[in-house]
Amino acid sequence: MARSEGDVAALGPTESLSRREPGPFDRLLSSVLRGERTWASHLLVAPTSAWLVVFLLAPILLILIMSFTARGPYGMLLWRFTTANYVRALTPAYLPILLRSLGYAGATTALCLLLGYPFAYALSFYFEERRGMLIILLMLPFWTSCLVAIYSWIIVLGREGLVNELLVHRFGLLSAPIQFLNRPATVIGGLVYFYLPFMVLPLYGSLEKVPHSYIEAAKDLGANPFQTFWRVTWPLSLPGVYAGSILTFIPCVGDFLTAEFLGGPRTYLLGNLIQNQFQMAQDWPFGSAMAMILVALLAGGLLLYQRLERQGVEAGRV
Amino acid sequence: MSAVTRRDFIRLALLAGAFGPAWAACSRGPRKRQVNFFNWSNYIAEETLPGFEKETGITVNYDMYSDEEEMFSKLKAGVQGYDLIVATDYMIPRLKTLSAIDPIPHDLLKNLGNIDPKFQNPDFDPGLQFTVPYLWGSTGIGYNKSKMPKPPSSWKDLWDERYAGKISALDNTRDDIGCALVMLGLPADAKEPAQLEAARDALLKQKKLVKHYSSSTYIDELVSGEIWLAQAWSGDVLQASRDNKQLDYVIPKEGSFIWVDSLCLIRGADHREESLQLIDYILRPEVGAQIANAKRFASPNGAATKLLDASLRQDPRVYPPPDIAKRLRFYPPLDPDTEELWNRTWQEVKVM
Amino acid sequence: MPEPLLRLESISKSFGSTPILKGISLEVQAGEFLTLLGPSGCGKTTTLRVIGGFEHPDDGRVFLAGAEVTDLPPYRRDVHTVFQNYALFPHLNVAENVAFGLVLRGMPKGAADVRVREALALVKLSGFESRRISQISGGQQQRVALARALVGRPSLLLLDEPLGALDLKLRKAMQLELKAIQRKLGLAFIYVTHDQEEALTMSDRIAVFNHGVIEQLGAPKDIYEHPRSSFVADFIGAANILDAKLTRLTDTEAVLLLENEVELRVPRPKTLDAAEGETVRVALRPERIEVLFSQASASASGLTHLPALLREAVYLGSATQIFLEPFKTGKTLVATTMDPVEKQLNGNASGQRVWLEIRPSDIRILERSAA
Repeated sequence: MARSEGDVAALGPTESLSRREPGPFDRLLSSVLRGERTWASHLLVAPTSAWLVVFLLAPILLILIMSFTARGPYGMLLWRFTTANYVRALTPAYLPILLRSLGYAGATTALCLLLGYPFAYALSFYFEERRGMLIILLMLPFWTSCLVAIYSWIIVLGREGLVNELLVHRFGLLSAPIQFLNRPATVIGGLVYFYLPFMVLPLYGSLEKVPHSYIEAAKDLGANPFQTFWRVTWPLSLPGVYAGSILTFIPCVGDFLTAEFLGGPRTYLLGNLIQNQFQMAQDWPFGSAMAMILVALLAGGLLLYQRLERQGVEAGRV
Repeated sequence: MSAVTRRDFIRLALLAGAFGPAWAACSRGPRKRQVNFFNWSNYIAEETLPGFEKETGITVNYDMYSDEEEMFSKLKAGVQGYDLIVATDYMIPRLKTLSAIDPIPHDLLKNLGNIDPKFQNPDFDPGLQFTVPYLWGSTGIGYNKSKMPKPPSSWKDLWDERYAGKISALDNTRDDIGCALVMLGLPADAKEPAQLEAARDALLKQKKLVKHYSSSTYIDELVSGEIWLAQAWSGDVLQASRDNKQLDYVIPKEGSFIWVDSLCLIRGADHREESLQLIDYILRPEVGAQIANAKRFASPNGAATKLLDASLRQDPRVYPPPDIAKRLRFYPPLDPDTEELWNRTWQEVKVM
Repeated sequence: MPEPLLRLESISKSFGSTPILKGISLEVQAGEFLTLLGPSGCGKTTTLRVIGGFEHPDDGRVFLAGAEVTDLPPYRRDVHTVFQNYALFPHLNVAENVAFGLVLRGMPKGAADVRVREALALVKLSGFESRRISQISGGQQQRVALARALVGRPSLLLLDEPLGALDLKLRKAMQLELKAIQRKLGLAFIYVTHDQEEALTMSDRIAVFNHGVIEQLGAPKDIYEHPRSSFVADFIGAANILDAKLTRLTDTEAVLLLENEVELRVPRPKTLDAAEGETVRVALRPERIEVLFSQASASASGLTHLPALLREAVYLGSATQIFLEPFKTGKTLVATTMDPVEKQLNGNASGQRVWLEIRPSDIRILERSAA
């Protein structure tokens, strides 16, 4: 209803994008899918490809176009080519938030790996019978909306929350409630909570594929359990480590809900900044530029993963 | 402008409900007599809409927002189906420029004359061509008396290191930049980059003390004592202070901002006639008083004033006496470039 | 008698309620090539895993060079294993795989490299050091696995069907090569296989496993020539198993009534747990039956002749298998002959009358018949 003429004009080039020649992104998608490319395989991927082109590629291209426009009065888009948004995004003022976001995502990934690896290991080697149930338990957070989960965290960790209620009033262990919310540690804790399954599942996938005979062979050759793990199990699980880390890191960098609800003024992340550009600041071009920088970061991560994975394949890893 | 317990879970409802009116508008067709009304959360008396529906037989689909920019984004992004919205004064020029709202046909409103003459010719909409004033209030400091060694009186109290971690500030360009400028003694409509840099530096200094920026959860935290003082909207604090006598509200001595929230007709609304009927209903003295009494904001409806609770009418925090009133001003109208400068300044504070 | 390299003392092991090993006792001397032979599920692989330390016996004890190792984990036993699927580490190249155990011991890189090169030379894989495991053939992988197990110079090497995945020709070649390496290094090998021919070719001794017990333990020739049970007789090579009544028993002789029809005098075996009048099983190797197409002129001393109907003749290339019916009971015997017999068979051979020539000393008395 409040669409400017510029908005309407933007739809033209976007529609034509669905008919374009296969580009690097298509090749990326195909190589992600891997496998023989025959007409049948093309047919199989067609519905998903169409979906992705329309609902992923087209919006990303729209954002890309928008990132080179200027902000007009009251947040309207001015259809004038400019790189000013990128220049602004790369000024030192935005360096802290970029580093903070990468730092939080990195810390979350490291923690997920630290917590998730033993779990995936146990799942693969010790709990054959209860494996299904444990995986269901792991996926439990996905059963509820993440907003509901975040509010539950607030209820549990708030100053008057469950934990403080128990520690202070019920058991009298503390004289004053602990401040959990609005702290970086809590934001990272929340991120770990949400992204742990993204780490565990690929880890489990690659650990489960490690044949027991390799472990026996290592022990046979004189490796104690630690050496067996370090020299055999760990290197063979590296594809899972890479996949899990990337699957955790990428959405973490863009996450804004966790920081918004569990964080405070000092946990403002890239995702919050982008969300803010589209709402409070009404600066869609700048928000788009930030989003594109994020996409570029994530695509870089994906390519890195592919390279690592390819090296793994060449090395004959499972 | 705001409301007492604008708890964030309302956002959940909003996320789900955002497209409700659009759906309703499509599926039910134009024959059904209804109004799709988009207002701040918790910003209307409980009995107002049922009373209207009962009297007119018109159904009101009521939808709420807790962040005005979010509401604006929705309109800008082309979410359709709303007929009537409530928007704050500084938003009006934007909405007009974007042709998002229609002029108000004064001849169809019997009760428009009830508006206090002071509000009949505001800067943001001379002659009330596009808006009908709904409620007004101020930005000030809300605090918990039981926690504060002495009541705050100045914006500088929000920069007091003794209250580190016990301070909350609104999450809003206008209020944060504006109040920082006022605290620094700079013009409240500063345009010079140097002035805004000074505001930014002040806000960055404050940020070290601020527990969080929030336009919605600070009331709960004031009540619980988790924060001691907060940059706040008047009605939010006053509404809560009815239940909690420890809460109080003060307009800082440096001065502050008042704002008017107004009813606006969405351009090309499907239910224009019904919307105008609802506006006229709200303009009735007894309805205007009903809303103000419930929400503890001041009413721009002059005819309603005598129907207000005495406690509200005589509250200097709601209707400031002349000596305080002269320290209050509307949010300044900003030209687009200045507005962008303000926005950037606020973003630079947030990203650090 | 010196302390054996390996001693198993009545090892028992069950998986769940299924007993797999029922009191296995075994000794292996230094430098000996012992084969554990038997059908799948007989317990031979489990025995190997108990020795390697991968299974803990429910009962019984394991000694290596006189020291008990029953409770020691695999990495603290001076034995190495060549696994059935080789279990080569895919993330390491050939040299790194072979060096794996040396690196763990903290051997300096220079010394380890020399040892790795020697080991690869021994298995004829010099120059393959930097190859990826996925880049070499199954036979080469087998050699790498062998080199990896040998490079640490264990006193005892365990091999779990190491040639099972190779094709026949490669398998034959590797059998000889393995045996040569074993001789050259003077190592003790415990070799698990279900292939009786492989066992006969390579072993100093064979332990024939059946249902968790060792049915017979001895030199290949001994086991082949003097099987102690119908299971052993049948599993090692082919055998005609017949029922026979022990009609008379003297110190030197046993008189048997084969299939209630033919009486034979055979030398009394050293061990015999049947008494006069009882029915026993006897075995007769197919290659010990001579098929005559005309009645023999005069019976040579000690030879028995039986008339029989020829049922079928199967040409096997180097030999011909002939199915015969010498008894009224209709029991079929198999004879194998290396002689060319096509001429005598006259096309459709079935029903032809022939004569069998048997040397009674070739008849082996086995266990008492269950019937």
